[in-house]
Amino acid sequence: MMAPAVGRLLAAYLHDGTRHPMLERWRPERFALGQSQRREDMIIG
Amino acid sequence: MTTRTFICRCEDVTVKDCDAAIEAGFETIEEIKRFTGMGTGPCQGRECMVPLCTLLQERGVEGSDALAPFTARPPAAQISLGALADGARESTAIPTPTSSPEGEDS
Amino acid sequence: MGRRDAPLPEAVDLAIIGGGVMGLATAYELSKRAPERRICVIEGSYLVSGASGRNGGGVRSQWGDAGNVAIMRESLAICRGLAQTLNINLWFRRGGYLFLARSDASAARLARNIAVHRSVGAPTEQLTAREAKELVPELDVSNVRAATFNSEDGVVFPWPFVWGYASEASARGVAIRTHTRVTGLGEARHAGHDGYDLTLHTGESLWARRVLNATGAWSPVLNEMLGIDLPNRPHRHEIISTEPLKPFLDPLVVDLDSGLYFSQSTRGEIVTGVTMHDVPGGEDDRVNLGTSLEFLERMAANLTAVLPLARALHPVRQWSGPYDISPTATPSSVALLDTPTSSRCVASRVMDS
Repeated sequence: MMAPAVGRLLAAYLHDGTRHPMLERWRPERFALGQSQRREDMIIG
Repeated sequence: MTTRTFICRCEDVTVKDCDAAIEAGFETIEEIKRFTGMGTGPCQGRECMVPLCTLLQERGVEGSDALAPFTARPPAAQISLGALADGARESTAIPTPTSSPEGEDS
Repeated sequence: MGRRDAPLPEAVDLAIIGGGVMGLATAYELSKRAPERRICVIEGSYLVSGASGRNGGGVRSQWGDAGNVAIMRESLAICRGLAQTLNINLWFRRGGYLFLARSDASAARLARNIAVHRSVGAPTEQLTAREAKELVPELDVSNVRAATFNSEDGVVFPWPFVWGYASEASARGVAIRTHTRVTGLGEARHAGHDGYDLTLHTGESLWARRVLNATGAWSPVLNEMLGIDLPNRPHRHEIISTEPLKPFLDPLVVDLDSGLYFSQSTRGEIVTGVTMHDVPGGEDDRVNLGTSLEFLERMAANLTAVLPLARALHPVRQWSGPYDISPTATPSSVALLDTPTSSRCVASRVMDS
């Protein structure tokens, strides 16, 4: 569960525009731009 | 029923607990289940759903979905994981974990 | 906390759609930082109706990507004091996560993970099969070739997270409306600002300067309203809980080769699931919350092999929840619709995270 940490990152961005590097990495533009990203391979269940 | 009457005996949920849920704005059985934990024990609502319905009616809680029971889920009858595992081994569709594990690296 | 009759302002600075843990945590954190902002959360059903109410409650730093490991460590650190902050019992129990590898390929993955974890300071340890059995004597480790353990990881009861964030956000002025579906979403200017008009199934409407799509596996429905097509899709995962046992199992155990995981909740139940590569009943573009005998048998076969005492246990409930999966298995669903005019370059709107 990432929500406690990601909620803070999103709130910081919404508050004053602070962009954490992970928010940059998760920009949906990456799908359109075809940027290659490492696939997370530890999804369980 | 008094405020100390148990609605759910599996999870020790009382009338007072359910009243607190109603007070907090939860007005359907689905929500009251999740807020109080009623119905999440071994009986899975078989004992407690009707007493909760009665309470909600007494409290004047209305709404088309208020008294809808929470989702019925398997198992319908008791069955051990051992019996299920043996069933799986008879099925060719499910690989048994002890037969040469193949790691997948993707 | 949320109510179906919570009044909604006519205009808000931020409309969060989706009353799960992600939307509510964001609402709470923003309301703390910026109390003057008008924020509302709109949930189509009840507050834990989605993935936030249907998961196994694991919180771990043992991921494969260093960025994910660092974020999860931050989540774990927040969880330590969160029960006090949110004034609710989260049932957070830090028993660690124990990963088992039964093949060379899986052992290699664990070795690679340890290097990644150490690079961001996560104290993951490499264990032998014997050491794994010392941690959990009930395990059958006869096929185990390697293991890793991180004592910082833990399990929670997921529902109180949602109540806690909702009630503290609500106390800070966030309007939380439940049982209300967003049926229309489109760009609209208001008082000189770009933003969005939201239409609700109740016939109400409101304007929001920004919109956060926090509906997870349900997010494509909202995205479609704005002509946004992202490649994230719902993926159904099943899970069971068993009759309760006396506490005996400290860590959550993962068998990497089968994708089996199991933990003991604070209530004593074994909570367990297993990877199904093909979702029984087929893939679906929409969320499907069904359950299957295929899952139950596969889970039982794998669990009883690793934890033989489970043969005598009876499942109490089998349910399912959706993972929201993108092609790189990275988050995509919390989409922030922000300043439409500046953003036509990609997927027609700017969206973050």
